[in-house]
Amino acid sequence: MQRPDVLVIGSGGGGAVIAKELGELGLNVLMLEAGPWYGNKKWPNPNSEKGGVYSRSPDDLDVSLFKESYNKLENNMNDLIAGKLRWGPANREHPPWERSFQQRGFVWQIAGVGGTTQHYLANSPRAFPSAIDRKWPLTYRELIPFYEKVEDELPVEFAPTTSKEELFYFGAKKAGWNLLNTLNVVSPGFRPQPNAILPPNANLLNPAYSEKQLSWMEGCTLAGHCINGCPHGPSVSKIAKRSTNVSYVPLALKTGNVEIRPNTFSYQVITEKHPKEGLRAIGVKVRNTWTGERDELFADCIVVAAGAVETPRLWLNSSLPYNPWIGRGLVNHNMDMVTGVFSGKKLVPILGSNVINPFVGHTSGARLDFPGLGSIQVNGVSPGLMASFAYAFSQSGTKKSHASPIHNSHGKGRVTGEELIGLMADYQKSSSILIVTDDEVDRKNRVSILPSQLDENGAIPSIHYAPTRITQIRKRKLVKIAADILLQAGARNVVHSNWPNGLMIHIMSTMRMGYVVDQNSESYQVGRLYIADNSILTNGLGGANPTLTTQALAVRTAGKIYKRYF
Amino acid sequence: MTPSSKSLKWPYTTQINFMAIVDTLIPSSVVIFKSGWRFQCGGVELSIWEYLLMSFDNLPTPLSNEVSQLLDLSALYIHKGHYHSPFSIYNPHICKGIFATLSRKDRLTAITHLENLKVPLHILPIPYKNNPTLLQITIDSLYQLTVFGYYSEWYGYGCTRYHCPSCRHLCTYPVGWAYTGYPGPSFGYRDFRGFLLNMSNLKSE
Repeated sequence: MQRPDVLVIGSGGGGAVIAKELGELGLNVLMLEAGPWYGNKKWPNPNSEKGGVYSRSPDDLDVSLFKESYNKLENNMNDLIAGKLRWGPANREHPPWERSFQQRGFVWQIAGVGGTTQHYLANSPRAFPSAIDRKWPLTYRELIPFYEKVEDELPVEFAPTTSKEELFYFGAKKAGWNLLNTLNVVSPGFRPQPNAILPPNANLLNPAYSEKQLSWMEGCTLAGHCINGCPHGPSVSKIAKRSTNVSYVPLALKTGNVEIRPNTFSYQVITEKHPKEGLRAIGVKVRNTWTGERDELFADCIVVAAGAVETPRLWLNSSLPYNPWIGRGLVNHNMDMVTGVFSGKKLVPILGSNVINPFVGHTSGARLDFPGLGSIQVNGVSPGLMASFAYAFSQSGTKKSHASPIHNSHGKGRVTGEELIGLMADYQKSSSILIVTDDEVDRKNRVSILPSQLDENGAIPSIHYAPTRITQIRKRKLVKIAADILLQAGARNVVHSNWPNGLMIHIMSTMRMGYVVDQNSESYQVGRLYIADNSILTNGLGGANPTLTTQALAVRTAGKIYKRYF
Repeated sequence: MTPSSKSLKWPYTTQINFMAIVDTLIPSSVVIFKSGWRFQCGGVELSIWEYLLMSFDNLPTPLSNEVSQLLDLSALYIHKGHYHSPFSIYNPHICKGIFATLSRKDRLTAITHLENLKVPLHILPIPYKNNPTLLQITIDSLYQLTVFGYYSEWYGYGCTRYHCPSCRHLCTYPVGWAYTGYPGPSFGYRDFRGFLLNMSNLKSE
């Protein structure tokens, strides 16, 4: 490739979108990705051989290779240390990349083309308008056309109902909540998840087609593997769950103007002082994760989309100018989990079956939104993940009495031994609800670097987070709402996990718009340096999942870049 | 279960301590139903202790031996409480494997003491020395990894579990699935119950 017009760092939820948009505008884009690329002929063995250097053609995409890699086994896919979907180099014999934690918890992020959208649940709600207006430098109304464009292109559709959604709706109605028939949430209520997942295959109920045949056709098969990595569809670009590696990346390649280099870690932004423009970004220093070779790449504009942990790290490791908000204001939706266990008899009149089978359907297909508090979301994952998040992760310690079950009470904390065995024996009759809190921004919560702790890519990020008092109150209220819905639906036991506060799944607001970047997502202090990931969100969107808003902003930013510099 | 020859890369005392953790959190048991009973293998029989050891050794700084030392140290305090043991100073050479000698109940107490920072932090091995956060994250990981390993497909990798992660493949049925009713990876399910809302209905919004 000749010298690109724009370098994009990161190919996840935001980077892939902006690369495609810029490519469509006719600009030459080079997108750099630290992790592997699954489903591309240039990397037939992405975890064991270094393979090619770059890919720029949709013909390189290969759905058979893709399905071979995404084999739906949760230990192989989701293990944070050596799994395929982890934050680390492509070579799984090497350890993951390190982060330093100042409180209990961990970061659940993924390196690789598609970034963390590879395992995301594709939940794509818009922000709550009340979280944007008068709090962001933009209005909600200004965002709507960009929301609509992304919803159309992904596409976003309301989730189909399967058993766990049916049970949730039943409980929510009984608890007195109303159905919200909208994408613009201004009052509390429940609704199906707006998900970036293709509608179910029209022949899903047609017995003439086997499930295997259906999995090679277009449309969701309700196989329940969203979180393990969805491999179902006739081609890479028609995979049912719309992670960016199967949606925006194929579209970007189709423009003919976008080249993507996986296995390339960007560790420093190169700047110069320009007589007219002042300090401006002109390039990036990169390191190949297989060979360790280093290189310098140059372009007219740099877009950083490395995620809300790595983007501030990159700024700090590049010694860019001081700004009191770099890495500051971190929010994570202070998540938690509440799980209900049901008796078969109670389920029959509601579902026509004595099991829920939480592993069926969209991993999360229903939600309740409450502007001012946050949201709660149905969650049905494979059993290893379910056991480890619902019953083995808590800041309340381990329950002492192994043998006594918790009848209709809010048992809190980890369970072990016979009680765990008993709860997991009822896995098919269980349903979990994820708590997603409207997390208040606090400047003390941050991503910084520790100059004394280095890895091959420079000083490692250090993460500091403690929820504010208001965030904790909101979370408690959401936990009560979730437990009530489960009990109203007839749950026999309700277990509240009480997760440590430092669990980082929705990581946002570390390079906030209005503080670090302007309303066009360009850095206030370094010209030609843009950001297109969750870090620029001015706040936690009121408790809406962040990806769609980041994608809408990426579309908007692409237009601003083109207009200003090309 | 006896450690296999492939496990020899870990000191014997580290191995028995990791077996002991897994046995504490998920022991083998008899599950009683209305219609009868069945024996359910524990985490030790499903080689979850090896999954734990491999996981801790695949971190940027391998930690399996240090974790084993933490457990011994906490166990020593329990011993002292029970037997007014003469040990007053922790000696890693004398105390190796002492955690594994405790009862299940005492092992859980030893793990809980570490989690609640009820051991002197200044005598912990590096990198845990005076690092309460790392200690608590490690305890959290012991729980989460044990349970994740047990209920995931790990056991099904059979002897290929010793291969590099990309070279493992299922060679036997992952018994953990039978304990939950999980059917394993699927091509699809036909539990489609319609839509509560459609995007097309909202277009006029």
